[in-house]
Amino acid sequence: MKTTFEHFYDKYHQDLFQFIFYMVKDKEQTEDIVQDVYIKVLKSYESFKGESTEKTWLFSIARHETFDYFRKLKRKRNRFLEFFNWGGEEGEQLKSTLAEPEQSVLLNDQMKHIYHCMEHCSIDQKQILILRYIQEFTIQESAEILGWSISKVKTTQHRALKILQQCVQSTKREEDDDDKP
Amino acid sequence: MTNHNDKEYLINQLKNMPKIEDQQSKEQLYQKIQRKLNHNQSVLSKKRVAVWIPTLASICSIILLFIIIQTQNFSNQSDQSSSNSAEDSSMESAKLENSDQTGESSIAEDQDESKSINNSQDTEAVEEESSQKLDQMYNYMINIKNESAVYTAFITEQAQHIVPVTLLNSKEETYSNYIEQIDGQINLDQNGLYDIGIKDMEFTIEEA
Repeated sequence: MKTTFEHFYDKYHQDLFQFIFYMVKDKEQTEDIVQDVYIKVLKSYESFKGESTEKTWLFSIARHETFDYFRKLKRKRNRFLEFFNWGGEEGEQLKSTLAEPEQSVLLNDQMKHIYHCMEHCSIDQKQILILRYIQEFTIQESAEILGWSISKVKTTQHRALKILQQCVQSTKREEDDDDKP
Repeated sequence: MTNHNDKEYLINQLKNMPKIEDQQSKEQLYQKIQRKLNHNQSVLSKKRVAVWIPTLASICSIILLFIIIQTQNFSNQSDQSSSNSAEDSSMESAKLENSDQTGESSIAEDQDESKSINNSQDTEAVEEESSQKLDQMYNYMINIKNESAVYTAFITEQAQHIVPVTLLNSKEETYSNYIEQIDGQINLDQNGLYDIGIKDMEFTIEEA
């Protein structure tokens, strides 16, 4: 069991951690999900038939675990929203006072815009941006990880870039407007 | 053109996003995974037990229900049978009472009328006939003008019934002799009859 873990850790761990971090943008949650991914890998490695590469298999597990996390998060959020009626007229929306992830400190202004604008994309669009450009998977590999067709990868990637572009431009405009005397 | 350039620029920016590295060591991570794995297994085993508990409970409740229904059926049947037997016994007792009443009334009539008596019948015959034909009513015409008659009574074992006996043409002079005479004819103990001690009682006959 340990050798399997070591094998995957040595080959893919930092890529795996990065992919999950850019998806959830929370270090502790990332560590938690990474552990779950390894548990799944260790449990089901014997049944791995080698139809895809180890890397795409590992990332498809990571993708499923991340989706599970988002589903749980959404359920939790909905429960809170229903309980407190924050979204209604009576409620008041407050911005989070939590500090931004430590990694975002390293980003320049333009990268910060991109980092935040990624949240304007859907989860599918976000993960294709991470897989294709941050992790630098090929279209074929991305399609294998996501279980999509190549054309779906291409269209989702195109839409994701468009949304990101629009968001970055509008943020830039707002900043320019604020800078004007 | 600028749109295309923007797109390229964005892709480049995405590719140059900082590399995120996990700070924890391989060993640390493995230990955490091991702990989580063990915890998951214990939770799973608990879940399995938790699944068994309601299953067992439901099986037990079904068995209990079955037993309760069975016992209720049994008690209903026994109630019915006992009520039937009770009805039978009540019928029998009614018969017996009726016969007792008839016997008593017949003997009471004997006592009440006590004027003429049938010489051909002795008391033993009366006893036997009354026991054989309980549902029949007997009238005795007792004529004691020329006959001697001795009256006595016996009680049953639990003093439920008093059996009055009249002995006609008795030649016995004393009560003990009289009892002996009766005992010779009927085994009192075997028939569940006991001497009431009538010898100590005093009777007066009021003639109208």
